[in-house]
Amino acid sequence: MDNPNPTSGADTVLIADDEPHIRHLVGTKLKMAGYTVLVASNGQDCLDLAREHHPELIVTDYQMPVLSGFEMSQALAADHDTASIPVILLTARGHKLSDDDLATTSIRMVIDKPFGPTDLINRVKGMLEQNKAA
Amino acid sequence: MQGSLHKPLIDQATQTFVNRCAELVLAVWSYDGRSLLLQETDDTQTREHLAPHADQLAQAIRIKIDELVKAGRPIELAPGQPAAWVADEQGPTLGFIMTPVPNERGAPQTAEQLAPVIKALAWNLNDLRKSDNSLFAVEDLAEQLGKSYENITLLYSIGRSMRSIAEPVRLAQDICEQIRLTQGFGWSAVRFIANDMDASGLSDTCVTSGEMPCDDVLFNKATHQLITEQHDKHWRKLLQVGQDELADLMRCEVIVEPILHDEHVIGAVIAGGKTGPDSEATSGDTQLLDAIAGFLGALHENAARFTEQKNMFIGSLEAVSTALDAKDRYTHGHSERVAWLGTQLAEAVGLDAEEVERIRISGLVHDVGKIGVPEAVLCKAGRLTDDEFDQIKKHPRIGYNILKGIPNIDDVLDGVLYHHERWDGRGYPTRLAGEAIPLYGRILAVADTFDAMSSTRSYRQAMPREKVLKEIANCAGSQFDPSLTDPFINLDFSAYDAMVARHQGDSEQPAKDLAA
Repeated sequence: MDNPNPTSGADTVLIADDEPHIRHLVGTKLKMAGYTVLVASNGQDCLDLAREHHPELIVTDYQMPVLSGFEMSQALAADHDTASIPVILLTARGHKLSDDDLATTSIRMVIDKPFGPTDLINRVKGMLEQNKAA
Repeated sequence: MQGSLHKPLIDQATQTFVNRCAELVLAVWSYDGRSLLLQETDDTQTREHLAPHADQLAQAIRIKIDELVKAGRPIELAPGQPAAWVADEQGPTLGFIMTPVPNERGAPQTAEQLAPVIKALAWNLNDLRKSDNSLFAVEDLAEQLGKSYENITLLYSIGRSMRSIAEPVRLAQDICEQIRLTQGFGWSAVRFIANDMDASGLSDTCVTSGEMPCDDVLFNKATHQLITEQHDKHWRKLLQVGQDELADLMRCEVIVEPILHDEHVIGAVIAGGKTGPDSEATSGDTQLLDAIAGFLGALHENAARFTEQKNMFIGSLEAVSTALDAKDRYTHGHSERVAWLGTQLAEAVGLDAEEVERIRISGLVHDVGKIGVPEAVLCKAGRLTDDEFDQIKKHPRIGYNILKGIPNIDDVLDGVLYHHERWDGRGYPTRLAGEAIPLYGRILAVADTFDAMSSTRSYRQAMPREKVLKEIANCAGSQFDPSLTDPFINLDFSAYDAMVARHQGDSEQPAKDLAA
């Protein structure tokens, strides 16, 4: 997987999904929107990349091998170095997470699969702006 | 579930609320993180009051939105401007803009006085919003379920049709059609690139469905180039207008999912021009195309294996028939020639390609039972005794018994067992007559007799072509099916003559075959 060194200027978004077609779809659309994109195919890789590169935002799948998106988001929240990175979680429709569960993680938003990429990109934009304003 | 605040149910409820409480509330505003919606009262008097300030108020809410959310109590948007109240701290923010001046009905005027009333109303509205959300969620889920069902049905039907792999191109065409219809693409294509080593029958295939935005030649060329450039098995593309040649050619976003064989990219599923309200390819589209590309990879592999096995099977039959013909120099190449004649006649009477192929196989093996007839009898020069002829007459049955263990060749067996039957019922071994004799037997009977008369045998010289054809015509209705003799006589025999010449050359130099 080609992970470029994030260049300064553009916000970096880290994508984690074990399904290559999702990584490609989201990656392509994010690059088109001007973001620097990093990709990981499981939760552990994603966590390692997040610690190394400190992306502005993470978009992650829920079910992934090695470490799930949920477990990864808990690990991010538990580490003060990465706790401020907001996470958008992609889940299968109908899969409900309780507020109590979400409170233990860095997950700020849950989006159902399948999704339209433009909607996702708008939410990424909104969240990055919101994060900067805060 | 963004945007559901703006659904009709909520609109209606807030409008009713704003109108009923016109003396308290000027407008309801909602903010979902992106857009601000002000829903004003229908009451003319209060509208007039709000109208000059509406834009200003909206702007003030945007600026103060965080403050509003955090405060959880009425604040002033601007000096002298109405105050607002946050009704909900989660999800889309909902609030009210209150009337700033006393009205004649003497309603409470300060924010503190209004607070309990508005809070109660906010809760009501919030409940309504939640139920609206769940209503929306149910509709959404139902739609999604319908979509998933369609996808599962599609994948199921593709999976099931993979059993019949004799015609892979037609199957690829069906799959292509279904991709377009299920996902609402304007067009779709399944493309396999050219490969001489590819036995699947899918090499250099391009099937399309829907109205293609460019002509086939251009599309074939562009997709060939796109696919042959790829060496990475994880390759996949979402091609964009202005960036990629194919997307420019098709004038839309194009999804490409690779079809793999042994980790090599051998083709792709390509689709674009999504129709309907949402023209954008979703993760559901890419997922389905990904799955279908997997199916097509398996289809390709199955088709290749099927062809290889079929070739091996026919190759063994050819070897058996060649071995048999080699026993007697007079019959050298006989099986191959009967097979050829049989296919020509089958085509002439309108049988389809698959049946023609079955006739060919049947012709190749029609005399296989001669293995069970002593050579002394087979190659005897001069007249056969009745007993010797009885032995010869056993060969169709022997051949049938040899081959009947092979699965799925019943019609091929027909040609073997019945090629010595006669239309008038005086043939052997079963003495069937007329149309009771299976067609393959009737076809091979003509082909077999023609070749026997046309070649030199141990017991006589070859007959000239004219005489042979006259004999065939004379035997219509007695030895042969009368509907087959005319089409047979009208065949072009030049390829047959070339075959005879080749076989004669072979039999004069038998050592050459062994050395090859």
